[in-house]
Formats: sequence, C-alpha cells, structure tokens
Amino acid sequence: MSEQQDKTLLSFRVHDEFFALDAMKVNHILEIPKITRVPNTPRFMKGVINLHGNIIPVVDLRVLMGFSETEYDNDTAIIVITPDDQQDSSLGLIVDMVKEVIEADGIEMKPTVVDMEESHLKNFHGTFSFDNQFVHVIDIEELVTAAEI
Amino acid sequence: MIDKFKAKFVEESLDNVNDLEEALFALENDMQSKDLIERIFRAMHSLKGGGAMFGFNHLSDFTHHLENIFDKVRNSKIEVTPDLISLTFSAVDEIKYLLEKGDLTAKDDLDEYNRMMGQIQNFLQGGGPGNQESISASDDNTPAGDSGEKTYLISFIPGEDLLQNGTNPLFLLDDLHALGKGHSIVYTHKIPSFENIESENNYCLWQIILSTNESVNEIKDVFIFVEDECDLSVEELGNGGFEMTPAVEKFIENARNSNTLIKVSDLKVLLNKNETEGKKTEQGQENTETDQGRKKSQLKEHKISSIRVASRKIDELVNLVSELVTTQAQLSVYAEKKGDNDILELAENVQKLSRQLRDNAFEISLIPMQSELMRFQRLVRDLSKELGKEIEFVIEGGDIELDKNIIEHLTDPLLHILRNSVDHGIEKPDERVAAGKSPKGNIYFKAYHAGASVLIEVTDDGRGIDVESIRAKAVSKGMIEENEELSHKEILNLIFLSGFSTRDTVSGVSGRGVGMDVVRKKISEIRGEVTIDSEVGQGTTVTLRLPLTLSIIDGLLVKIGENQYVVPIASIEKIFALDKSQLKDSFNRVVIIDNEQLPYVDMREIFKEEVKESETPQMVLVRHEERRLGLMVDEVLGEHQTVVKPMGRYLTSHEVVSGASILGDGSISLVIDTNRVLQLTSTGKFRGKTKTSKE
Repeated sequence: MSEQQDKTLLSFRVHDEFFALDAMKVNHILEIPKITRVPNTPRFMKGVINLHGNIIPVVDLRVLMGFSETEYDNDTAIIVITPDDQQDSSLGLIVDMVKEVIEADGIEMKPTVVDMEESHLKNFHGTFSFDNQFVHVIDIEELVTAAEI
Repeated sequence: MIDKFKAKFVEESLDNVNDLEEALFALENDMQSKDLIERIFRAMHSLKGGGAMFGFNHLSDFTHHLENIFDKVRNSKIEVTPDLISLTFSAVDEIKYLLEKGDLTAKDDLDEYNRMMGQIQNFLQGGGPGNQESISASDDNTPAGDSGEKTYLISFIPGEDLLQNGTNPLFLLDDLHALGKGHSIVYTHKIPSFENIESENNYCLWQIILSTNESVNEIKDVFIFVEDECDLSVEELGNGGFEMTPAVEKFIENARNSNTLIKVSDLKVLLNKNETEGKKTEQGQENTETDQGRKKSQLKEHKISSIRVASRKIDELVNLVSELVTTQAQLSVYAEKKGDNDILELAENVQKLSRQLRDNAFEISLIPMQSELMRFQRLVRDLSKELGKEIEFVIEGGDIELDKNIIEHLTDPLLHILRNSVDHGIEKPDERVAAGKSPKGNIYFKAYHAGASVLIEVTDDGRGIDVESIRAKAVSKGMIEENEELSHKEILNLIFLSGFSTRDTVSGVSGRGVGMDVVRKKISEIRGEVTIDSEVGQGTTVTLRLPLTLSIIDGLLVKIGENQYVVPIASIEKIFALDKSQLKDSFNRVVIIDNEQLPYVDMREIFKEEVKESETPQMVLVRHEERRLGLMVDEVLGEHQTVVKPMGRYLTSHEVVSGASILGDGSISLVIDTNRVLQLTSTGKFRGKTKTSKE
C-alpha cells in the first residue's frame, strides 16, 4: 500500500477530505455541464454528459465515498479520466474542488488510515502529507470497478 | 468465389513482393546476411506456391527458377553479387507484372518473359547475365518507325458542285484522319466575294499530309464516291511518320497564305532535311513511350483495387462522421431558428454532403461474411468426421455484407448453432436410413437481405426438436405451469430462456438448445433477433435477423419524465393516443385497442419517475418476434434519425437503455432497448413490483 509509482498526481477535495489520482489518466477537467440522468442506476451514477460528441458517464464521488450530497457550486468540477486509454473507459468524476498537480517524486507515502465505512472505495495507494493536509491517493482500478453498475 | 480468392491472392502476393523488394534493398547493403537471403527465399517460395494454386502458371514457373537461384545462394553455391541483385530486382518487376496480368498472352509480354527467364537460367548455369547484350541487340532490330508507315501528301481539289449530291467534304477528311496521323491544310482563296456566292457551291480545297500504315489504294478508297467530282492526287512523301517541325509549319503557313498548293518535291526536300534528326527523336520518343508504358503498368499495381486499413481507423472514421452528422443537425436547427436564407441553403448543402459521407463511411465498414464462412465449413467438416456423420454443407449468400462489428459478434453464435445442428440435429447415417432419409444429412446456410435487415437461416434436415420433451422440461424447472397453454412456437422459444438447458442435460432426449440463451443474448447485443422452428423428424431452422449496421437507427423521440428517449422505429408497430378512461378501467395492465387485448407498461414506472396521471398519455406499441407490448410515454415528440453511441463500459449492463444519441441541440437522449423491456416484462420484473437497484 505504501508503494507509490505515480509520478504526477492531481489532487482534489471531496467533502472535507483531500484525494489525489494519477494525473496521467486525467483527460479533461470540466465545469458541471448538463447531465442527463440515466434511470435505474445506482445513486452515485449521476448520468451521462456529452463531451465532444462522446457519451461519458459521470459518477459523484461524494456519493460513491459515502459522504452527504450538496448542491453543486462554482468550485464543483468533473474530472474525466480514461483509465486504459480506450474511449469507452472514460469516466467523469464529480468533485467539490480541483486543487493542484503534485509531483510525487520523493514524497513519503504512508498507509491510508481513514474511516470509509460507507464508501465504495476502501483501498488506497496510500496517504501523504502536503501543505499540512493529508491527501489520499485513489486506486483507479478500484474506482473503475466500483463505478460499474 | 474463385475470383475473389484470386484477388486476395494478388493482394497478399503484392505484400510478399514488397517484402521481397525490401529484403533485396537490405541485401544490397549487407550481401552476407543469411537472414535476408532466407527472407527472400521464403517470399519467393510462397509466391511460387500460391501462383500455382491460383492458376498463375507463368508466375509460378518464373519464381520457381528464381527460387532455385536463391536456393543455391542459401546453400552457399552462388555468391550474392551486385549482378544477382539487379537481376532479382528486374525479376521482381516481372513478378509484379505477372501478378497484374495473370498468364501472359501478348507476344511482347512473352518475349520479355522469356528474356528474363533466359537470364535467370543463365545465372543458374553460372553464366551470369551475359547473354543480355545479344538479346537486347535483337530487340533493336525492329526500330519502331519502320513498321510500314508512310507519309503521303493528298491534294483534294473538289469541283464546285461537290455539295450537290450530298457529300460533306469534312466527313471525308475525318475518314482520312482515321487512317493515321494527319495534318490538313485548307485553301479558301477560291471563295468569291459575298454577292457572288452560290450557297450550294463548294469553293474550298484541301491538302492533307497523312502518315499511315495503309496503302495508297486505301486512301483513294475514301474518295471513291466523289472521284468524278474532284481532282485527287495521292503522292508519297517518304517512309516513316510525319513530324511537324517549326520549319514544316512555316512552310505550310506560307503555302496557305500565298494560296499556292504545296508541291511534293518541295516538301520532300524539307522533310529530308529533318529526317535524320526527326527520326532520332521520334524513335527516342517511342522508346521512352514503351518504357513509360511498362513503368506505368508497374506503377498501376500500386493503385490496388482494395487496400487494407486498420479497423481502428475505420471505427474512427465512422465515429467522426457520426459527429459530423450530429453537428450538422445542430447547424440545421440554428439555421432554421435564424431564418437566414443563405445559412439555410448552406445548412441544406452540408446536410446533403454529410448524408452522403455517412452512407459512404458506413459502407466502408461493411465486410462480406465470406471471411468467416471458411471457419464454419471447417467446423462442419471436422465435427461430422469426428462424430461419424455424413453432412453436406451448402452455403448461399456468402457475399452478403454486414458491419464488421456485427460479424465479429456473429461468429460465436453461428458456430454454436452449427455445432448444435451437426451434433444434435443430424442423425448418424444408419439412423437416417432407418427413418427413411438419405444417409447424408444436409445443412443449409443461407444469408439474404430483407429490408434494412439481413436474415441468416441455418437449416438442417435432422431429427428436429421434440416439443413435448421441451414442455416437460420447462414444467419440471418451474418455468411454465403444468397446464399452461402455449403454441408450438412459444414452446420452442422456451429454449432461449436462460437456465433452460444446462450442461448436464446435453445427453437428454431433445439435447438441443444447449446455450441457446447465450446465443440469444449475443444476438440481441447487436440488436438482432433469433427464432427457431422445428418439426420432429423433419429438421430445425434457426433464423437470425440482424440490422445492417449498428451505429445508426431511425428512432422515435419520446418524452418520459424529464428525459427524452429514443425508441428504435424498427421495433415499433403502432403509435396511438390513449383516453384516460381507457386506462382507468384497465385490469391487470391490459388495454383494449381495436378489440385486441394488449399488455402495457408505464415507462414512468419502469424508470422510477414520479408516477402521475397524464391527461393525454400516448402509447407506443412495440413488437419483438411474436410478442407485443404497449409502452406508455408522456409524449411522442417526433421522428429522429440518430447515431447510437455506446455509453461506455460502466453502463453496458444497464437493463433497459442500450445506448445514447446526441440531439441537434447537443443534449443527450437515451436509446431504449425495447427487446429488453419486453423480456423483463415477461419475466414479471416490471409487473407491479419495482426492482431495487444497487445503491
């Protein structure tokens, strides 16, 4: 868990926790566009968006991780990731705020200790401290598995 | 069919030739490389083998000899020399030529072929390309100019009454020009001043310089009908063709201006002056012309009639075109809103073009089923041998084209259906004889177009499926009630239900239907249908109905709750407005339309929208195979041709929505998979109770 190969990370805030994921998997960062609800899907699946003619499902990380939902505001953003470079693997993640890109070289990674009882995500690559904040590194593979309906 | 294989062979051979050429280039730089020699040898070997198989005898023969050289090279009996490489290079050109032409018939081609063969054989005998000179010298013996061509000066001086018997002198000139290369000079000095012109008289005279292979008599024959009305002289100017040099041109110009006819002697002097020079250039030209001809034919085979493209690129193209179509729809919406005629016209043109482009792009992604048929043939052959059955497998309509994505999805289900036919359908020869059939079983594979679909039928004349045993099994599995009344077809269709047939029942009486649920699932993934028909003792027919292309459908736009949805028009039978009262009294979710009881579902309920009583609900009646179901929607918005886009892998297992399409204004509408709705309704999933989703 404490091993960390990702060189560059994108950090963001969900509820009052900070998370990060491999920046190389990130394709776009968008403001919240019109989201078309897809009926009969789990609550975390917010629907689909039209991104340059491609249909991309969008997951609300707040719901996926068991936090309470809030209204979207100006900081709310969608991070579009493409885990394996295939177009059909694209997934939008709704986060409360995108923070920054962090070079992870030389950063000391510790095992993640968070209470994630309600969360669909339980395994993290680790946690590091940055600007006096703990940042948990998300395991994209687990995220992808959790997002499948 | 053979022609297609041939074409494929040529295509593949050209790849081989390219490889050969590449290796040769590399060999030129590294003459000792064993690897390269091996590679060359291999390429030649497959050319030879394939050539013989597909009736390219010259090619096969030729490469055989070439291969022999390289066999010796391989065994270090001959060394690689620059001579050998050049010889091989020109041999490669000949191979290309042979691939293009097939077996040679034209004399020139054969000469060239034999010349190359001679060189190769010389090389084999250790002589090197020595004989070349003598052969090419003999080539020069027949200079191109000396082919019986002569140049004549024809003076055609018709009388004034030439036109009166209906002769058009211009036709005569045309006839003359048809004999060879000519140059006409017209003299108009005899035309009188306007007031003296007799409109029916001819006042012109002509001289023509003509280079032709025809004899003087041939030329005179042109004038045979006007002989009496004109002065005609045909005089020889000399051998060979006529070259229009600046000097000659000037001479002619002078003659015309001074209105004095050209004299043969004068022209002859002039021509002779040019002759030596002229002949040279002429011959040089002809040589380069034949050279070019040859080169052209070599270039031409690079314009292969078909090219192989990575399928990813085609997917990309189709995708881009789909996007273009969507964007164009947005443009149309905008243009209509603006009402500006210029923009409207532009939008219309763009629409036309993008439609054509779309059709073209989709056509590109179609491939014939042929490629997969070989596998089916092998399967039937191998399996029937293994099981000790005799089967005649007949294929019809192998040239039917389908979207490559469909074909990809089709292979496994078809293999399965065929395996079933061979394994469980067709009986052993003695059984067949006992049943009064011929010992040899038949399986027909037939593909054909039906509207916007392609039908594939797999028919066998085997033992068929016993409906009663299916019924018994279904009852024992609790899938139907003991005394439930079902039609023959309905019972047969039970085998498509998942869980009907499992591995442990393979050896059961019916034996069929193993994994038919998988077949149906696979086929419906590509929006196809599968039906089965069977008579005990007569055989079984499995029919697949497939869409031509996956990515575009005609859809009906409907509104359910907040969202817009697309219902594929292909599955719609009828649309009608409902009276609220019709539903009020409805019992057990059945509505009576045209004296017919139709089951229906409220789409709001299925999509877990807030259920509210609509004043004017509308019903979309959909059909899948034998079953019909009314879908109650809030509103029918209109027709919409749409590109269906996948929703990504996260939503693929969605039970009702099979894709999404982008509307003209950029918003998304989801595509309802009506077959799934029908299926789920029939299993009671949507009837009354609501499903709990993963939350």
